[in-house]
Amino acid sequence: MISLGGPEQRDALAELVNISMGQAGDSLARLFDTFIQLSIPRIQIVRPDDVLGAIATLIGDIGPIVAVRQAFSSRIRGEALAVYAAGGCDAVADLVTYPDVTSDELLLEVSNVLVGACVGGLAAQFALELSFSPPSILGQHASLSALLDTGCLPWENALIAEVNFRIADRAFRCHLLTFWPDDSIAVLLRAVDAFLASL
Amino acid sequence: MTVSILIVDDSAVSRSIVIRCLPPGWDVAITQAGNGSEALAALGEKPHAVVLLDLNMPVMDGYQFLEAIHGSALAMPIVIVLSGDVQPKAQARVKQLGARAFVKKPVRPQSVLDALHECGVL
Repeated sequence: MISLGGPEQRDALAELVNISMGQAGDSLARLFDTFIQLSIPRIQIVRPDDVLGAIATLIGDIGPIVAVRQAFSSRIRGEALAVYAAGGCDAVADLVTYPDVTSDELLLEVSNVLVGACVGGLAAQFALELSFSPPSILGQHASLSALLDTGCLPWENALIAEVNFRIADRAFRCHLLTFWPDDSIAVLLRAVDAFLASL
Repeated sequence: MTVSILIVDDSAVSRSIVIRCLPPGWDVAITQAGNGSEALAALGEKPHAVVLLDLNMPVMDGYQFLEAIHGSALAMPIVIVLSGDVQPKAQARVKQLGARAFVKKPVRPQSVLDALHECGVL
């Protein structure tokens, strides 16, 4: 089984994810004009059979969910999944200054901001440019397992990086999961090695 | 005179980047801690003139560390926050808790130098 390399590589990757998450949190803070609580990034490598269990463990028991999926590609490819408790961004919709935004539009906008800053920001630290597919909303839990069963992710191993964003005193929580398949893990690890060598 | 510096970050890679960003030739004695709790223990053992503090850490984060110093008998060292959380409200909150300067990650030698000047350490 492919591994994350040494503890130094995992540590370096987590730190780079942490920096891009900070940029995502800052974008979200500006959108909602409030303070966003950031998690500590969690990174692991899983096999396809273990993905649903891994996701369940990472997001915890938040009840019914709604998720937004966005694919990204270039020399590196993968999928980003923004997972929210049912209701999505409704609990914070009043904080947004846009007029007349629908619940779904807000969900897509927030997800797009987080994925762009987090995944795009991580890739930018490796001087990689990504193109993103338009975000799409997945319904409830069943859709999540359906997504992962459709062969959209035909990989042997995937690296999952998870970060989450919360707003104090509001029932808002978004878990951003990114999935990087085998060939992308190799690209990521080479980039991490180059980063470590540059220190 | 040797300046004692405490670097607090859960990432060893990040601590090593910070050390490499310190001004070359500066006479320092460096102690490292992996979270706020370890940092408090280090301060309890001996005073440090400067603390370079990450915010987002397990066990005890940077905010909790600053609050804990206020609630203790420890003298407040010069605290410079180094964080990937670059929200304006994060910067305001740590300043309110006694931090003297804020450096955005990724850390660069120039931004560390600027912060040290800002705090009057150099």
